[in-house]
Amino acid sequence: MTTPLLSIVNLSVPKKGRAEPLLDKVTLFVEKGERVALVGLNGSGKTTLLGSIAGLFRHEGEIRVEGELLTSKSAATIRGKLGYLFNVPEDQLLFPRVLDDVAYGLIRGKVPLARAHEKALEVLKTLGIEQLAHCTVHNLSHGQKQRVALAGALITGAPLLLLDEPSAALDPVAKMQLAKVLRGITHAGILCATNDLEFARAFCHRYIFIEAGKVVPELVDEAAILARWGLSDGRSPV
Amino acid sequence: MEQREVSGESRGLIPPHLTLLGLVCAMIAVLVSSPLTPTGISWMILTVLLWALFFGTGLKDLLVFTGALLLLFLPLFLITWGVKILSLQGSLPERLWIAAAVPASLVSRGLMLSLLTVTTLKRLSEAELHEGLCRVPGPPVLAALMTGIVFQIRSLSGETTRMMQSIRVRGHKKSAFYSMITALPTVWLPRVLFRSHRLSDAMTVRGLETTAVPFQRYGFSLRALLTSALFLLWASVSVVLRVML
Ligand SMILES: Nc1ncnc2c1ncn2[C@@H]1O[C@H](COP(=O)(O)OP(=O)(O)OP(=O)(O)O)[C@@H](O)[C@H]1O
Ligand SMILES: [Mg+2]
Repeated sequence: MTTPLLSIVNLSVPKKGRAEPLLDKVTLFVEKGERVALVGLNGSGKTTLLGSIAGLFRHEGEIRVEGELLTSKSAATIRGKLGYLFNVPEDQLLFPRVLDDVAYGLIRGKVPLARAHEKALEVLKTLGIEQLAHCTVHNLSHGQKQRVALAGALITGAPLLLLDEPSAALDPVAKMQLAKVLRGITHAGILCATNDLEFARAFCHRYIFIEAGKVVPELVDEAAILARWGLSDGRSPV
Repeated sequence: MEQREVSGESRGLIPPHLTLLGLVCAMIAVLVSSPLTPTGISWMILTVLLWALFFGTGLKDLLVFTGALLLLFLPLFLITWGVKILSLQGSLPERLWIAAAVPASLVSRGLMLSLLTVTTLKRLSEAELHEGLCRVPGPPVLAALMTGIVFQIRSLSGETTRMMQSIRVRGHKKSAFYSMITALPTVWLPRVLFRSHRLSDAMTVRGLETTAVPFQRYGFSLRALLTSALFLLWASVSVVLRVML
C-alpha cells in the first residue's frame, strides 16, 4: 500500500469553552491526482478542516501530508507542500502589486526574480487575468482578487491544494475556466471546500460531505447530498 | 485597468529607497531648524517647498494639505497654549504672547513633518513605497515587519472605508464619520482584530516571516548618486545653520 497524499485520522478540533467540538473524529484520505469536493452547509466546519491541515488550529488526532505527521515542528515543512486559497482572498494578498504577490511562492523557493515573474505571468494567463499583472492589488474587484489569490496558490505546483470556496466570487465564465484549469492539474491532490455542486461536478472525482463537524461517509454523490438538504427536486442550492 | 499615472519630477530619477533617504534628510532639516527665528522658519518652509517641487506636488494640493493639517493640529495648539497661559504670571497680553512660543514651535514642526510625509506618500505608488521600505538595509525580519506595517495600514484604511460605506448605506441619520467614531469600539475594533488575525494566518501559511523579498537590481546611476548627495548636503547645511545662528 502506498502512503496517501493527505491522510486525516480521527481529527478533532475542540472549541474553546464548549463541549461539542468544531470537528469531531474526522477521518479522510486524498490520493495524489485526486480532486475532492468538501461539501457542507455554512458552519459545518469546512474552513476549520482546511485550516487544521495548515496547522492553524490546535487539534487532536493525526494529520499527515505525504506521510509526514503534522506537529508544531513539522508545520513549516508541511505548509511548503500546500497551495492554500483562503476564504477571504484579500487576507492572503500580501504584496501591493499583483505580479509580486503571485510570484512570491516561487521567490520563497529561491527561484530567481526574473524567472519567477515570467512564471507568474504564465499562471495569470491560464486564469485569464494576465492584464492585471501590474495593477495594485487593493484596487481590484472581489472576483479579481480571488483569481489573483488562486494564481498565487497554484504557482508553486504544490502537491496538495487546499481551496476554500474558490468559485464563490467568480462570474460564470471565470468559474468554468477555473474548473478547466483544475481539471488539468494531475500532479497534485485537491481538497476543495465548496457548496457549488455544479462547479464541483465540473472538476471533482468525488464528494466528502461534512455536517456539524462530522464526515457523513454514506453521502458520496450529488443526489444523496441534495436529498439530505431537502432539495432533491433538482434545484441546485446555489 | 491602469497603473497609477507616472508623473512628478522624482519619477524614475532615483530608486524608491533613496527617495526615503531624501525624506529622512528633509525631516532632519525641519527638526534641527528653530521654528522661533526668522531664518529657521524660512529654512523649514524652503525645505518643504523644495520637497514638494521635487515630487511635482501642485500648489493647490499643498494648500489643501496645509489647511487640513492645520485643522488637525488646532486642538493641540489651543490646549497647550491654554495650559501654558494658566501656569505663567504677569499681565494677560504678555502671558498670551510668551505662552504661544512652545505650542507654536510644536505645531509648526508637526505641520512641516506631516507635509513632507503626505507629499511623499501621495506621489509614491504602493509598490514603490513597499520596495523602498524593503530595500532599507537590515535583517529580512525587519523588512517583513515593515511590509506588515504597510499592509496593516492599507488594509485598515480599506476596512474603514468599507465600514463607512456600509454605515452610510444602512441608513444612519448622522454623518457617516460621526457614526463611525461612536461605533469604533464595538464594531470597528473586533473587525480589525479578526482581520489582523486572519492576515497573520495567511502570512504563516505563505511563509512570509522567514523569506526576504528580492527586488530587481538598479544599475549605478550618476543622477541617483548626485540626488542622494544633495539630500545629505541639505541635511548637513541645516545642522550647520542651526549651530552657527
Ligand atoms: N475562531 C473561531 N472560534 C470559535 N468558533 C469558530 C471560529 N471560527 C469558526 N468557528 C465556528 O466553527 C464552526 C465551523 O466554522 P467553519 O468556518 O469551519 O464553517 P464552514 O463550513 O467553512 O462554513 P461556510 O460555508 O460558511 O464557510 C462554526 O459554527 C463557527 O461558528
Ligand atoms: Mg468556510
